[in-house]
Amino acid sequence: MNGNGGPRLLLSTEALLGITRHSREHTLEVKRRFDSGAALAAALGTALDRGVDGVLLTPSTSSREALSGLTRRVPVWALVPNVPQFARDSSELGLPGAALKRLRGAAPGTFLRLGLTGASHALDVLKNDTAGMAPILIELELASLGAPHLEGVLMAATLTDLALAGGHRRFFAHVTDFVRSRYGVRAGFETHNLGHLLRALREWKVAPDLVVGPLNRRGFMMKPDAESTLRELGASRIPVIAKELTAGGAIDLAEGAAWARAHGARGIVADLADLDPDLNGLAALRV
Amino acid sequence: MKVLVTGATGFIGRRLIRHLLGAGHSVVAAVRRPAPEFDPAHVTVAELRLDDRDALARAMAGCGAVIHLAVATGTTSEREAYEVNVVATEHLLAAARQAGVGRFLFASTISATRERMGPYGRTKRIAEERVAASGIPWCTLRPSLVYGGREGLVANLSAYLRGLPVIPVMGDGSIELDPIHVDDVCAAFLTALTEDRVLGRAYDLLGPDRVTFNQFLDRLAAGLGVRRPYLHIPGPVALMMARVLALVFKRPPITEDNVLGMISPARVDRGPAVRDFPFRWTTLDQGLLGRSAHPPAPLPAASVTRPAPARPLRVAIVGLGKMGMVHGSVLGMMPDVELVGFIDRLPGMAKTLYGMGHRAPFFASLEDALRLARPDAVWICTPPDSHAALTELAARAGVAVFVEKPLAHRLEDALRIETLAREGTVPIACGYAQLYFPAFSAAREALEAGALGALHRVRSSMFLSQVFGPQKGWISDPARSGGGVVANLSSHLLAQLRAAFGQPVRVRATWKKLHGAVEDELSGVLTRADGVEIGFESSWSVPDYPISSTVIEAEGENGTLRITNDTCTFDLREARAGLPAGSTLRRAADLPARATFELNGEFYDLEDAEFLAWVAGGPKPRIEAGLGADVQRTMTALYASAAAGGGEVEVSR
Repeated sequence: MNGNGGPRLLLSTEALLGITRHSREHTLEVKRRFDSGAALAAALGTALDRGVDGVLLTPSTSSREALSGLTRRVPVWALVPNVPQFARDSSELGLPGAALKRLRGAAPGTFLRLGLTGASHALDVLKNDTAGMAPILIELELASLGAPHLEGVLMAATLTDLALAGGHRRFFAHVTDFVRSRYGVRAGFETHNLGHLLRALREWKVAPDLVVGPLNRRGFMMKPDAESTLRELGASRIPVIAKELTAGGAIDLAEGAAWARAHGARGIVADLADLDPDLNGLAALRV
Repeated sequence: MKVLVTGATGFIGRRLIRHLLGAGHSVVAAVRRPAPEFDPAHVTVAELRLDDRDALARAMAGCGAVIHLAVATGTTSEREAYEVNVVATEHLLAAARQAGVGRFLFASTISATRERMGPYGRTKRIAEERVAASGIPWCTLRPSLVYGGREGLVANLSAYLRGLPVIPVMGDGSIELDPIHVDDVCAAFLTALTEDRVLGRAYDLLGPDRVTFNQFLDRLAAGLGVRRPYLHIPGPVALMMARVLALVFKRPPITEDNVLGMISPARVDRGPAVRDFPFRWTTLDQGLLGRSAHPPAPLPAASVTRPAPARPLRVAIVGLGKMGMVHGSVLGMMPDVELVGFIDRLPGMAKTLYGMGHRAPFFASLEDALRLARPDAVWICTPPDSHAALTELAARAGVAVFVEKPLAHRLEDALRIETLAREGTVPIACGYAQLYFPAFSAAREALEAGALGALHRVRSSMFLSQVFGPQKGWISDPARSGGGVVANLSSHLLAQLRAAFGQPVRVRATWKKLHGAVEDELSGVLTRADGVEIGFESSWSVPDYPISSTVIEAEGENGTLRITNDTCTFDLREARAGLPAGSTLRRAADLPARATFELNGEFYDLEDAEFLAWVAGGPKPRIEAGLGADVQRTMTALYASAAAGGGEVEVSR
């Protein structure tokens, strides 16, 4: 990590959830290659050797196994929740069942922390207020991930963008405060609506430690449009970490990284699906 | 770099513009007459005459380079050839100097190097000299015989080989050619735009394979699967015929230049181009198979405005579960939309939307909301068994209705909604959001424009990893949901098939119920009135599909098409519908990015915006209720067939 402005280069493992802009065949190939605890642990080590500041990890069986099998310190930026898994679990088990599943095997301290968080947000839970339910969700998901070296916690785009659409200022302010005070790490938000979010945060005077969102010269996934997004990026004081650098494979990764940095991104996220099997491409992305 | 291109509508011009755009350049196409083939989102069209220096200079404003492709070919008039090939070039050079253009790239021809030249070769040779003496940094490229993409030369010769019993060949066919693929020519121009080492030089652009004309014809014929005898016309005879024809026709079928091209060798040197354009060249084998070493990069996404209502609208959401939340969120981001009511029979459900920050009055009944909130439109996101009654209630009150898919849980209810929609008192739509996948939209437009020609067969599938055990809630109750994977998921695919290929007349299907009372997998065949069969496969109980994945593969008389969630790929025999021959991949990033808000994709924003535009007096959207009713007809027939063990069932009309 360089300074206090946020990471300059992160490795994302989102492809292992099957969520990529690449072809299904390529995504499955990446999953076959890395979706085991041992393979992922090795990849995380390699990524560190290639110069990444940390890894963006979502709770899953393989990420949990990889973290428990690590022999070196890997700075983790937790991206929570695992939306597809949570949706599946809650449709089969209901919300309580999905929550209990995440606590399976958790240490007693986790239950204590969860109890405290639940108690301090009881009113929000009764009101179904996402601002207060998000901390409980974060506790559950982090318990499921079990990251020993947490650098930051980011709210996944689906939740971020729902709260953004609701104009829910308190959600962003409270999640930021909660993550900083509870874990002593940085708080951020992933979004698929970067221009909208930066503008809202500026108007609300809410300043998380970073925002992760799409940025590429094609304007791909840059909402509301490329021009507005770049304008908001220029006006924002929140460090932005760029993703979707290749616009689904249409742009060379190194070129996409250079473009994003040249247009104001503090750092970049390269996904396993964007990289060669040996992750050699990461070396070219270092600043 | 901004580049002005003359001859933009020609064979090389159109392809070169695709290359320029793909490489990130902006293009001004100088044309003599309107050129609808260029998308104004990508190309600035300057309609002008090449002898109008002022218009030329205006069109060149801000241009870093000019690529001059315009030529007079096929003419027998030395004067006309001189006017276009020499005088127009002089005008262009003068305008380029006036506009301060930094680079002038000139497309000449190897005909300008022949031992014997006709009007075309002679005038191009003079034009080369004018360019070299212009004082503007220049580069001249002399392509050999240009082919590729089943257009131009190959298209003509292929038509002769297919259509004529005997192929006339001027001369003995032993003249050696170095056919060059059009994409290689474009790649050379792109290189010349930025590389200073090529300035002040003229290059012979030759393909990597030297063949005689007879060999070229043989290879082309073999590729087409035909054999034809050649009738060799002696050179002097052919030349005499060309000169006689020139006396009769202004644009004869054969010109002196054509004949000389077949009998008079060109004095060419491939060395300088190989040295200064160090890239892979397309072999003749590759090129004749429709491949090239330099396909153009995909077009950048154009910034196209998405539809929007022409006036502010008041909207209410009925049913506050997952889809109510999605539509409430998307609509909440639209500037001219006011959410005026959240409606659910369970008051607790409103907490979900309030908990996300939304603020709108809650109503326990649609009647109350219609009376008190007075919405212009309602979004019905309740379980399907309530759709018909709620739609009737809103429509009778004069309120537009968006019904989440499927239109209903049974055909009878869907037909009630369709009848209401046909009355036309209010707009009624059914939310088949996947019709708005950019890749699907692009594919559908090309299909409508005849890209595939007559359809032969279609295969399709939709898979999701979602159901691996008994489910909770109404979704697992067929009396409320109308079914399992097809009703709740792959009716999206049925809607896409309906929109792209029309309504089937009969179906057959089998299903599997793995985890409860509704089907988890269904496979079937939809048959159109013309006998074309559409394969259909769907499951929500398969591993490795964390997000739903749709694939449609179609085969037609002119090639194939493959559509996925994020891409569409055409592989065409002949260029059609604005698509080149060969393979064309369009990723989502290559397609217009119209949505302004993304929530699990762009499509919810697009479908809601298009419906609202209709409500405010705009055009009918692609998701109008009639399509939803057709999907319900097909779905009902599929279920009937599966329930009966897989026999054929007619689709009701």
